[in-house]
Amino acid sequence: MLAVLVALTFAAEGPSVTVVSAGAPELAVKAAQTTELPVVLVTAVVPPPGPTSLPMPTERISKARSAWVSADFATCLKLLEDDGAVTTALEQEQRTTAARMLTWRVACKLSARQADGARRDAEWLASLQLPLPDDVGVMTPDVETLLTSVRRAVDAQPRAQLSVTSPVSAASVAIDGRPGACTVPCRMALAAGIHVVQVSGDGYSPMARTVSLPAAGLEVNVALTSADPMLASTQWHRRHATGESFDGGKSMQLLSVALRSARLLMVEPSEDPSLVRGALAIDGVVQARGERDDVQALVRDLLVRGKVFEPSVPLWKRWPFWLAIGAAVVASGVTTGVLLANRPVSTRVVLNP
Amino acid sequence: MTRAALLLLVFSTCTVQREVALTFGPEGEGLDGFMCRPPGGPFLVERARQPDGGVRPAALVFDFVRLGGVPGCRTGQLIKWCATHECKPLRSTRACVPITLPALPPVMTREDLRQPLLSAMKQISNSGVLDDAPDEFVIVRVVGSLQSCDALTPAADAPELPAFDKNELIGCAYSCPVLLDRVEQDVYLGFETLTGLCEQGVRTCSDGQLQWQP
Repeated sequence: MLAVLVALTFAAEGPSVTVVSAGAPELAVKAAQTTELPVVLVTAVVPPPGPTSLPMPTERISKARSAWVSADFATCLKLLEDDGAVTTALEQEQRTTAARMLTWRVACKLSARQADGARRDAEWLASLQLPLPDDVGVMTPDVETLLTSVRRAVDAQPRAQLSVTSPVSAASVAIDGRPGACTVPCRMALAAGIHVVQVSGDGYSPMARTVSLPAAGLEVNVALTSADPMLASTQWHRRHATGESFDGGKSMQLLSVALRSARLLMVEPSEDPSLVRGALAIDGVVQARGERDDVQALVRDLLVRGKVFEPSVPLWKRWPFWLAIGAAVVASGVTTGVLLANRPVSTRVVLNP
Repeated sequence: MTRAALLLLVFSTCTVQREVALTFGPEGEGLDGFMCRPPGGPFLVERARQPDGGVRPAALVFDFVRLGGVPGCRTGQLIKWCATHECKPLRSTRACVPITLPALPPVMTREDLRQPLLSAMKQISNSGVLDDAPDEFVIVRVVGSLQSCDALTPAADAPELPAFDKNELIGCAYSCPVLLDRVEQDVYLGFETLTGLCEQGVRTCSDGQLQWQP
């Protein structure tokens, strides 16, 4: 019973439309005050961007460095043994951090007489094409010697082909923390070894894969999942910061997700101060864009063009009206005919013998 | 009030106005009923003659007789019809027109009588008989009487039409059953008789119920 009542209440008020403005919130408030609409207009504010990156393990590196200086190599290795920290840094495009971690791991392992392990880390560092950090200057010469020789060896090896594909078209590929390496589907030549492949696209959560690239090459398919509202907000802010138009299809889609709004109406001041621009997105897809001098007229226009509701049809455009007119014409015709056929007759009788 | 007037105007505008003439024929051939006499007696119109040679005033009384159907036109058919149906003059339609009969010579034949009677009738040509004829089949009857129109016109509160004094009758004629709102010719008034001995027919014709009069 309650559910029916709630359903009826909502049905009576019409669908809900979120009205938002990034540059002029007062414009959104005025737009939401548009009256005589069969919809519920609700104002919202653009949510702030989420955290852009995770905190980097710089403190851990500092501790490892202190341990190495104190000849506490076991502690040094323990602090830096996690490969995941390196790949995470690469996913966050923190190549310097990743390079520092690997370099200190090489230093700790060399000092701890783990020559093979030190060489493997040096090879990973070289295959990732990470720059040697400034920290090398405070390390022993054998560390720099190893890093340089391994880099030369890796560079001398033939490159392996890495192919990256994704169901998401035009997704951007970052390799080893270098963004914009290519756009899927793409292929690139890399040194054989462990690499971090990250595929991202607006509207999706970035997906990173750590792959071991053999000399024969490798094909990687990376699927993406839809971005959550916080990530969508972050992506929207990133686009907005580049000066992209607010009513672009992707921007409206991201903001719809960020606001969790099935029907999003965005209004912004136009370059012409006398005009207001607006766009309406239904389920993240832009249905209408417009520019008017009156924000409330713009709201009506966008909602009608976006088919959120049908405009009031003039009486003369409704078929029942013409049916009634036709019936009235027929009825009056029949009545007139009957009256004419049965007109009363008044006959005067006179004598004319 | 304005609406009512407007409605009346509309209806009056839509009403078809017609006029129908009653006639005895161009030669007065329908006047046979005014040339009747009883066996061995004078013509009924001679009742108007006064001893001093003058002529009493007379009246032609027009009745529109409701028949309750559409019988045949011949006298026998009408009498038979009215024996089983109510043949009754409509009270509101009686009209009376005074007429001055011609001075008649003592001895005359029926044919001597026809032309003077026709001339007398023509004296009252175009007399209005009725402004709005009944919307049903009726016969139009005209009865000549020496009674005055006042005596033969019903008083406002009188339920019935005054009956004719049989001794004052001077003639009678009638039409076929006719729907006056539809008829497209003049309506002939006549009286079926081959001889002048038709006083009994005049009495029957002038009867209030068109019943046979012995």
